[in-house]
Amino acid sequence: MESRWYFIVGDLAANILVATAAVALSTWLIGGAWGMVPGMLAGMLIGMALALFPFFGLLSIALGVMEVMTPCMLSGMIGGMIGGMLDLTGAEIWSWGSGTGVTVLALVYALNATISGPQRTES
Amino acid sequence: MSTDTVTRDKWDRAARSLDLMTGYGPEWRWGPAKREIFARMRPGGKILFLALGTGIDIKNFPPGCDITAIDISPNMVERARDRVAAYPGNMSAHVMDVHAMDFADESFDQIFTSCTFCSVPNPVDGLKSLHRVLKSGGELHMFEHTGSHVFPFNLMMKLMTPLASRFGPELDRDTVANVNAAGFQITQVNNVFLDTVKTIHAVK
Repeated sequence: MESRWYFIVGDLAANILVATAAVALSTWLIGGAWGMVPGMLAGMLIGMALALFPFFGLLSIALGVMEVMTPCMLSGMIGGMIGGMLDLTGAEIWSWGSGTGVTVLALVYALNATISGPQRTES
Repeated sequence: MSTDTVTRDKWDRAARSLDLMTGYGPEWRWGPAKREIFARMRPGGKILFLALGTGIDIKNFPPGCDITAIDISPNMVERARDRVAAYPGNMSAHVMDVHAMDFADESFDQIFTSCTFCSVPNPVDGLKSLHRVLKSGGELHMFEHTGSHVFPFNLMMKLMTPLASRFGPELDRDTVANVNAAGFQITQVNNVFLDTVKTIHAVK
């Protein structure tokens, strides 16, 4: 379980940034105009791609590899889905993006607390 | 000895940016877990370390050990030269493919790997090579990132692997299963982050 403030604050900022950017880009490109399911799927791909380029390359230098990639890709995917389904204003983009980033990171931290540590050996 | 030139060239190209990409955030994040695993290096025994890379892990090694380090990339080994020379113990570095190591059978008491078997093209064969050069009762200690068994991370890793493997590692390896398949007896697996970063301890 991560307990260093540099990484906790950095993870939080990274996930809010990626999710908000994904919501903004997806709502700008699609914004609910394609219908619910196509918009959701396209937004998910947009958010996932955005999480990788450019964010992962930049954020991983400061914050780590898998610890950045896994939650930020999820934040980007979900943020992109939201932006693909809904036509949002600036304040709404920020609300959905920050809420998505915080929620995803909290879930990943909780999952990590559950499954990190010694495991049953298999042989 | 034959060498996998595709893998060698890929890591030769990556050598210039490796310190920038992994020397800060990833090292700060993984430092405690790496120091814990490298603290198991025992002075007095012969140790094999792979993959050396630019030698960024050397600062985490305890002093006074007898370490032979290998990497498939000549550029990596060249960049590691100063760090190898500065190690306060007996350390040598060699350009060598894990699939075609020219060490005698049962040469080493301990083997340590650091983010290696995400990139070895044939991981079970590579681990069998390690099994060959490790003495009976010898120890294998690994710090590796692996694939995940947890949805949606398993799906994300599989989707990203075709792209990631063009520039660096594969992201969906089941290294614990590979260690078993190579004939080692696993003694401990420790998840460092989710089930995607882990330390694996095994014996021959």
